[in-house]
Amino acid sequence: MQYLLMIYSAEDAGPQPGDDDFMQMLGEYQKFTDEVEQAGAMLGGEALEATTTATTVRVRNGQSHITDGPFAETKEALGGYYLLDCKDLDEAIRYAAKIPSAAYGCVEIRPIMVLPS
Amino acid sequence: MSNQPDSLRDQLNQLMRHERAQLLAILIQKVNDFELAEDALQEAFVKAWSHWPDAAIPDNPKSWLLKTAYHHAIDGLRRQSNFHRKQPLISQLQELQHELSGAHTDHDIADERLRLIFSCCHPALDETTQVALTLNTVCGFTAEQVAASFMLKTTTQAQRLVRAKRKIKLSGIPYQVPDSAQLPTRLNQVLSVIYLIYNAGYYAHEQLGLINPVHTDEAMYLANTLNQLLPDQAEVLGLLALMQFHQSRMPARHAHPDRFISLEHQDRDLWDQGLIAAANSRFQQAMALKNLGPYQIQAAISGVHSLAHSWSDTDWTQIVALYEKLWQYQPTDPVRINHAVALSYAGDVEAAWHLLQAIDTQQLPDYLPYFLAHAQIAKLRAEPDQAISYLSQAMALSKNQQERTHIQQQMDRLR
Repeated sequence: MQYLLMIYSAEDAGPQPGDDDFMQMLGEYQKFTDEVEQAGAMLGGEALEATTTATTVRVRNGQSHITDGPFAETKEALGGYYLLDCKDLDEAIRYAAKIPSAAYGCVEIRPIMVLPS
Repeated sequence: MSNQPDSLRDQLNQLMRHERAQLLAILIQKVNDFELAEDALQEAFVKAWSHWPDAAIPDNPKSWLLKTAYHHAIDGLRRQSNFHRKQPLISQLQELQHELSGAHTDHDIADERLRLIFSCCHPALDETTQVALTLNTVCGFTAEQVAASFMLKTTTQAQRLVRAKRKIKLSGIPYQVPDSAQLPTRLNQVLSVIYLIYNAGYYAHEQLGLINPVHTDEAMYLANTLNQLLPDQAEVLGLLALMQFHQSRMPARHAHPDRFISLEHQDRDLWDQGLIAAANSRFQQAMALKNLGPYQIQAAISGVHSLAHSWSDTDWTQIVALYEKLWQYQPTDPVRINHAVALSYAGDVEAAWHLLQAIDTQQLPDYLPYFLAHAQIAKLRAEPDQAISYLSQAMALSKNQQERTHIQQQMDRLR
């Protein structure tokens, strides 16, 4: 099955660029990425820019409404994701627990829908 | 075999009672879909009901039911919109159906209930859902019966069960017994669900009477099944011993027709010595495995009570020591409250009082045992007004008429 692991955390939580431990965290992320790649589970994944760069689009009655910012103003924001191919939910949970940001944020797991062909 | 409808109904009911969970567990494993498996099994039982009176019950009724259920599952899959993608599964089921047509005996049917139990108690489902799903799929409760256990509307409960079964399928919750690395935590969760079911029976709400033997029986059935399929697990044996100790006191606890009798006032001659012996033997088996855990400690506490010839004869020092040990595994308020009560009986009323003061009441504003414990300790500190005040708070929280009578009696004695 394919799972999207969405990494949420408060943007001011955890190591920030310029901090000493920021490079260390990048190293931990690289280690995790290597692990899922070697296991053949990696389908994709990226880090996202901060929510200050986000734009939200809604179309209502054919009209586009553009708003500045993320759709929900919450403290914890989506910071990045991995798209993984896992045997089952248990394997996805095991990988999620290894994502460095899980230590101060959280990781939401969503199965990818299999569309009827 | 007789084809009298009455005896047939009995035999079918027996089959449903004893084999339903086993058959369902196999079907779910094969079709990977709780709802489809349940529908197929239901159809198979209906078909048995209409076919067997003429043809008599076959020698291998389980194989017959399984074969018939596969047939209905295949029909169900063919009716689905994306059925061509299900072709490999349909072929596989046809093959299984064919296998069962030969000289297949019921002995050859594997018991897959362990997978079913672990899937129902998967941590990706919330705990009340785990309890509901276990009662529904493993114990065969209808949505209405499960709803009654939780005081929910049947429709609400039915929707929750459907949602849980779809989540298992869509999110890929594995249908398997966890590997050795995961087993201890996952097994703890299963035991927690079983003990919740037991307590739902033991502390039944008033609408159901003071005790609901169906729940206590189902909890015993689940724990025994677990012990049979996953032997030599110290905590499984510990939970079995704990529940058997509780069960041994039932005749004394319910000796009066309209109120329960607390441990202190029970006629100990009514305790079921056979069950106490069985519980002791389970407990010894558990201890021999040298893997201590919270259920074994709770069983030990219950066992100390069983050894005492009277309430005053109870070894409270031993019980206090056991609660201290339990605290290391379960640092929770209920454990602290019980520890305090034991301390008060052991004679250390001040230590008991201090222990209760450490509890943050904001965290448990509605917890009845907290007020009962406070009342008990106030009584021992010769503060009857305080004790009555705590008892009236407990009274307001009690959902059980017989329990309220019991609290009222305690208040009357203090006045």
